[in-house]
Amino acid sequence: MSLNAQSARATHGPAAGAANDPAAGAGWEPRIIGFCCNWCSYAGADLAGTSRLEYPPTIRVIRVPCSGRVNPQFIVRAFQKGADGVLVAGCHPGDCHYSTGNYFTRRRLQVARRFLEYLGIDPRRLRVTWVSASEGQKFADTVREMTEEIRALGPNRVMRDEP
Amino acid sequence: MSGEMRATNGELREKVAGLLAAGQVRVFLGYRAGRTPLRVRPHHVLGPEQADDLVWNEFCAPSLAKYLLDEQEDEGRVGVLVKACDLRATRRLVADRRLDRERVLLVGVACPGMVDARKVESLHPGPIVEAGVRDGKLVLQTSTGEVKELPREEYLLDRCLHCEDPNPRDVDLVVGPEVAPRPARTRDYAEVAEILAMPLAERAAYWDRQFSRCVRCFACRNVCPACSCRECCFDVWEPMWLSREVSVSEQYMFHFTRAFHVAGRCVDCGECERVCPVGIPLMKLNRALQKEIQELFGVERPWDPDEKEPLAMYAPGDPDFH
Ligand code: SF4
Ligand code: SF4
Repeated sequence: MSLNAQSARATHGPAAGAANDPAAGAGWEPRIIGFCCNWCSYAGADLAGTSRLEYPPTIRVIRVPCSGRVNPQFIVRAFQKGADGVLVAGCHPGDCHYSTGNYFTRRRLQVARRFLEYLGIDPRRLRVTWVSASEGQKFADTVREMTEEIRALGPNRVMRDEP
Repeated sequence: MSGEMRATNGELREKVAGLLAAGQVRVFLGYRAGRTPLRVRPHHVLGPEQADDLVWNEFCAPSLAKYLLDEQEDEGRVGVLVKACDLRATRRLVADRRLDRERVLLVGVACPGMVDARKVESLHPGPIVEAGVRDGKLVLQTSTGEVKELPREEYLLDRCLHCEDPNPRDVDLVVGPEVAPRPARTRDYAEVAEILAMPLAERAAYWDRQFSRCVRCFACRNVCPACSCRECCFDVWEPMWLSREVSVSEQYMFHFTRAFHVAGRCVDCGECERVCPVGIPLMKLNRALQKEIQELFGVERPWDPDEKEPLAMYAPGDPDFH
């Protein structure tokens, strides 16, 4: 992205949906990066797969040892490198494999999510949710919902590097 | 300089010379005259004879707290002149276990409010040959001999307008008389509300404009008492959190990270914004985080180093995501 303020401003355009965003193109599909905790959500995603539950192929899953591993800088980097949405999924509060990791995640990401919104990122582009190893259906539903929501929002342009 | 401040100058020089002569401190950090009348420079006083160059006036805005980290690398105790806001900075460094309180001798001075050189320079461009405060008025003399008398309050640093108590407490030594606190002001976060009133696309455009001016000098980080990691993520090559490329995208990474890393620990001293050579409104980022932390977790004074670090703890009943 150019450092020229005028052109930088122009790239954001109005808060438009995919339909009237020329950059969205005809075949545009949302790109979602999903950080999944190894103990619950990754297993939940696996269950969705082995149960042959259908969900859109818009998500790229990155396995992390705990949702607490998700440094908010990872989220910024994802948006920089072209993600239209980021999903962080961990064990339900109280069920963390490391007892309390997800409690810290919850605090930290509540602040990060609001801060990103302050910088201009639509909060619907960052979703944090709790998915246990037995909740394959919840994982599939979450990805489907998020994909629809982001499809309506159109491609993310804020803090994105060259497309 | 007011008469009281003149007296304080004498007292300061005498006491510092005494501390150095008695070997109570190895070095004393204070201020000396700068190259323009609106600015002072840090003065590292190494012997009693250098104490005569110390000054204390309405332009001593810089915090000297961060120099303590370098100075404590050498043997001996380090003396430092602190205003109430600087004291909060030293308490932050102690709370973060970066500074050993026993190795520091804090000399407190009550502060009447510091003049914001930027405010003066933007409203009165052109060389100023003399500046001072007399009878509550900021008095400037220009190179053409013109003398301007201005209302001092309008030229103070923003942080001074929000100062809760200008008298440093719990220091090792005090110089000068007490100063009456200014009327209490509640934080209204007006600057944050201004951003929140913008639609998202407008916010992004605003931050694009601000961040794209950043020259990555790191002055904001270097001065910050809450930013004191021995190894900063911006300095390491592996992993490369921040590339050397200067793009708007990387500026977001830099500014998000700088602000987020001090979230819940920022002491609201305003030094980052004061030292930024291009005038990026960094306090709008820090204050937004303070406000969020207050609202989300009920932390009353997130800028107070005595508060338990809000992002290093949790409560089972914290607000959840839906
Ligand atoms: S972020 Fe700025 S206001 Fe906060 S402690 Fe650091 S220098 Fe002071
Ligand atoms: S002081 Fe200003 S220009 Fe320098 S790195 Fe910080 S924000 Fe950028």
